[in-house]
Amino acid sequence: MASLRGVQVQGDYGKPAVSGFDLDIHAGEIVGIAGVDGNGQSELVEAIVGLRKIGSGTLTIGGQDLTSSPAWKRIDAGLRYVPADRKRRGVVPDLSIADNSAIKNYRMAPYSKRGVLQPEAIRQFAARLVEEYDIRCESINTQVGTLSGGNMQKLLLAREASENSALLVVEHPTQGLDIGAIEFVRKALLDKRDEGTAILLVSADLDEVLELSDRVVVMYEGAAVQERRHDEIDREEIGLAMAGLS
Amino acid sequence: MSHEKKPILRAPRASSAMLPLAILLALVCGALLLALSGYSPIEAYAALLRGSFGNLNAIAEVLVKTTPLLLAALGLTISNRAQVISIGAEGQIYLGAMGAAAVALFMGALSAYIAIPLCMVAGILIGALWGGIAGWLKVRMNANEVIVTLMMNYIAIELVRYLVNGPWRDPNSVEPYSALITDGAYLPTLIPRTRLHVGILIALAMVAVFWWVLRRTTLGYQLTVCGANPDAAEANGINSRRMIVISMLISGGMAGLAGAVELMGVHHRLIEEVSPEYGFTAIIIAVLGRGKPVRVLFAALFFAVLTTGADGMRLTMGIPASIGSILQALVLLFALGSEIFEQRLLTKEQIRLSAAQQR
Repeated sequence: MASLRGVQVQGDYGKPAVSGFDLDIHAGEIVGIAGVDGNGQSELVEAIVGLRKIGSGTLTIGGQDLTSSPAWKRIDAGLRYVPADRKRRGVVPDLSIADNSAIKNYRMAPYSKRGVLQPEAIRQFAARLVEEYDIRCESINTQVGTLSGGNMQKLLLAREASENSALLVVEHPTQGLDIGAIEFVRKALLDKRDEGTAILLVSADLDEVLELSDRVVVMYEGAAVQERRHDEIDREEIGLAMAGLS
Repeated sequence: MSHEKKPILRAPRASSAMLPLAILLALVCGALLLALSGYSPIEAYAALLRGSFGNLNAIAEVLVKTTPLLLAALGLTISNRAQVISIGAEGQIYLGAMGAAAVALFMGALSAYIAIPLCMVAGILIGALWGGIAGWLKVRMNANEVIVTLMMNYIAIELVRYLVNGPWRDPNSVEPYSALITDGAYLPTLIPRTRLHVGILIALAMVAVFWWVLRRTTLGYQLTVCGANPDAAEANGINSRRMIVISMLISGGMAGLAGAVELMGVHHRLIEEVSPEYGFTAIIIAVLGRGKPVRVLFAALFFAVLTTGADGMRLTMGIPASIGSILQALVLLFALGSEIFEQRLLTKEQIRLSAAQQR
């Protein structure tokens, strides 16, 4: 389980982007953030994954306090991240599928031993991701930059969801994908939830948030203004809350 | 779910035929320049080739020059990968030589088995320290590494100048030289009656070591990711600040080793002119090597040929040495230009491939 308590995050221009944010994400649950873009969602995500300082408040994953931990410690604690801009933050386009698949677990056995990479283990892992997520490619040596958006996103999701993920943070996961890939990604998220992963979903696509989330939190001007379980969702009410009219 | 894997994509090939073309164009421009200065380009280039391949001694000279260039450029390859622009190799070479000299001058007579490794370690450590300071300043104080390393060069070079003119000066020598180092610290000569010493073998071994480190270790993996996509490195928990310091330690250490090897293999004493700007040429070589140790090896050889050949042109035809420097600069400019051109071809190829995939 992951929890945020009274989290405050500075935006790019010195103004607080997120303030007094409380949230619990339980294992086996998708929590969706609904909101008009620019109401602090991306700053919140960056603060959780360690790309932005948490000004005050606390972040814990599985009981471990990670408020001021560097990104790699959060990764060790089971935090996984599918960023909005997959080519910039998600993958290294110039490297192969195999090399990209190792980015989260290259420090762990069996992928490396005492600082020496184990190419065979990495290749097997990459081949498994390609197989399980039906990634269309010539081979695992293919440069990731040459994959289509959908296949790149599948690879990213496959990698992040594959091992030791306690909290999976997913940002605009279907942006710019074709219908087939969108369905695939959504189903993969639901499958991961059913396997017991806690998932935080941030998306500009309100339908997606409402369809996938077990709980929806509406974010407006950096604060959580409304929270609804899946069965109490009222589109109109949520729409008003997103506009700051609740 | 379909498990059919159609070969949809072919990895695009970097149009690597561009580089030889770029070098050719650089040589053509150089020929124009030579002709304008009143020399026959054909004769001049013949003199260049004779000067670097004409006899055994010339070839040995090329390899002697390759050694420090290669060692320093391998180190810079690492700092380039961590996105640090170090101009500091020159000063680190001087300090490396100074460190080795300190051991070989003042530790008395030592056997080669102790003296040679000890001198090298001294050179590596002091070079690494010098590079590490610049890396630490960048990470801690946000100091611009270009300025810091450039300024630290002056400190290093002037320190060596002070030592050989003052406290370390050999009282029996007319020139500002230190005394000769202890015999045990001389690197063995490879080919009799040439200056070629075993340093070239050390440098070649380092090519293999760096290839292995970059391809097969977690450190190399982190550096590769940092170099190819710093944003992804950060988002995936690779500490770029740590990489900066480590890479500066490595590049400083390698330049220090270059200086130590130069002292033990060529000069055998600390002199004012430890390096004829090897540290700056190494920057160009590292850029042309594009982070690949084997490419760095060939770039280092090529520049050693240009430098040695320029000496040949000067000696046989009286062509000023600056023409040789201009030739080096032309090669760099054209090679960089060809990279931009290659990138555009590559992008076009990628667009075509992804268009083919959409079908």
